[in-house]
Amino acid sequence: MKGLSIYHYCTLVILFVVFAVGWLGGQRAAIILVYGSVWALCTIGYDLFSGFSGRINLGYAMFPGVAGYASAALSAKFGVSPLLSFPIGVLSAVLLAACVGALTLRIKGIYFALSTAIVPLALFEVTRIVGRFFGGEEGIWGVPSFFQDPRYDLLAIGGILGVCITFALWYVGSKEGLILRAIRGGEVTAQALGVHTFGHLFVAFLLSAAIGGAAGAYLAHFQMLISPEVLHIITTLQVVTFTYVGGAGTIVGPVVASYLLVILNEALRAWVDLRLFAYFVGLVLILRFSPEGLLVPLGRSLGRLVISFRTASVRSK
Amino acid sequence: MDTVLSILVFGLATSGIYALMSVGVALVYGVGRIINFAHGAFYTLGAYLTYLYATRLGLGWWISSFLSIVSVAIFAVLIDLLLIDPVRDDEIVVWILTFALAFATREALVLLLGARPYSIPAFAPGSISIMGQAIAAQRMLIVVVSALAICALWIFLYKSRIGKAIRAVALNRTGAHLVGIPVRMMYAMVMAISASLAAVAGIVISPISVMTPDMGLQPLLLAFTIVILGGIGSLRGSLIASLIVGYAGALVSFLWSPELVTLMALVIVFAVLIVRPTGLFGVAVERA
Repeated sequence: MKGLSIYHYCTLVILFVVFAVGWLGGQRAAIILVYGSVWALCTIGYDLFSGFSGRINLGYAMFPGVAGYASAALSAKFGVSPLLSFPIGVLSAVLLAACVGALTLRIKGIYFALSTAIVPLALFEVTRIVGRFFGGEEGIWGVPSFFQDPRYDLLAIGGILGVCITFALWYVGSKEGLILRAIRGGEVTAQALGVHTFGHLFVAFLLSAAIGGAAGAYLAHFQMLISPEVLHIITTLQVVTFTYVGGAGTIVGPVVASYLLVILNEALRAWVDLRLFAYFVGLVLILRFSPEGLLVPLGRSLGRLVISFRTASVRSK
Repeated sequence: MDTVLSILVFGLATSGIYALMSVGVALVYGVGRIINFAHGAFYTLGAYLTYLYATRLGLGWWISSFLSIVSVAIFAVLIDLLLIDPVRDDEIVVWILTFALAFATREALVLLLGARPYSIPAFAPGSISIMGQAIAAQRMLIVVVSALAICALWIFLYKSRIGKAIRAVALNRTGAHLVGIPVRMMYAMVMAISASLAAVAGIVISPISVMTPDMGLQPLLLAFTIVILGGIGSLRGSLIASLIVGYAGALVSFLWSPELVTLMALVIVFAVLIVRPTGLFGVAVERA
């Protein structure tokens, strides 16, 4: 390894600030930051696969959805301890990813995006049809939580998040990440060079599912309920939004964007009616005028500023 | 016998709505090479604007529908020129952008009119009897209107000069540009056509269902599954797939339960995608 890059320091600083604010800011701040962390976790999973391989997974909501439902059903209906149901939830998301991935990863481009998009839609319908078990539109209530105090939740999910960010940064910096980027550049070219693209995509798809699953399962225990809305295409859209506003393929950018947008969303809560409208109009404008997101161009101009300062100071010597 | 006839008419009306929606999606993809997730918003807007023109301005229902179709077409052209065109080449950005547009429209409707359902009186009230079976006249109207609209679109695309230009752009963007076809105009034109077809669908369906800000979501999803089933970009494929999904849906809802319709459509499409990713009638489009 090349040692810690500037990104790693960034992450540590961000997580530290999040903890400090959540710990000192009281319950409400902690709750908001836990939601921010859940979204951040989702975006890491999304970015790890789609951001690097260029395969757009429009059905990402299936991972948090299935893991959340599995963990919630086990702990609320069968009395399994959350500590055991959480890993089982993550495992079920990985299993689903294995089934879906085995079928769809050979398909390319728009066809891949649309065929993955169908899976959570079908699962959404299933939760309605098998309403007696999955609670229909109400979802599953009374899921036991891990902690009473949301500040401990913040610590726990922050720990998971830290591990996942470190792992994701190591993974995309390794040879695997290089191969994923090669696939994004041109799958046929990668194959011609002897890369078994399917296997690499499959592994990344499973990892992405595990991280998204962890987010969904934690969310179910944190809000003590899981409703079919988590499987809605809006969930996927939100994850994609956070990822693209932060800058796809950077891992850290989407994390920052998740926290910022969740906090922004909270700040706009006073204008209940206008909030969502403003949110979507803002998103349209961002995409129209800065298609690569907000944070990447910002980072670039900051970098340019630093370089110009450096050259200026060198010249003055 | 009664049931068979009901299924026939019911399936035909449903297929008509699906066809109006999916042909627009297929056309925009085939010519403009974009996937427009805001297509459902045109459907919703068509219905709502008709309601608004009729109740707030006191115009007749037929005039309001006409005005509403025109307004939706103009709205679509503006979206295409101002928002989509600058980012057209970045597929993913277009997806998210149109998605966000769809939800922005939904939220605007909620803001202005609230989330409560509205309804439009039937354009063709009463019922007509076919072989002793009473069938809602509005349902027959849907069949007639969608058939007329699809025929008009076909004649336009295959006989008129502009239609031929549109098909030329679908075949080869650069080639069309070289022979002097204003490609960008054609994109906007196609967007207007597909938006007005969606608006027609929204208007004719709302007397027999209810108008809510979310009414566009379900037909949008079905239109996408139909387009995939028929092969993305193939108009003929979309038409045949509309009939398949429409009739399969009518059968399922008569035999089992209407709740299963969407799930069935999704399962069919997923299965087709796995076996034949380009759909039933699609040709693989390799793009760099």
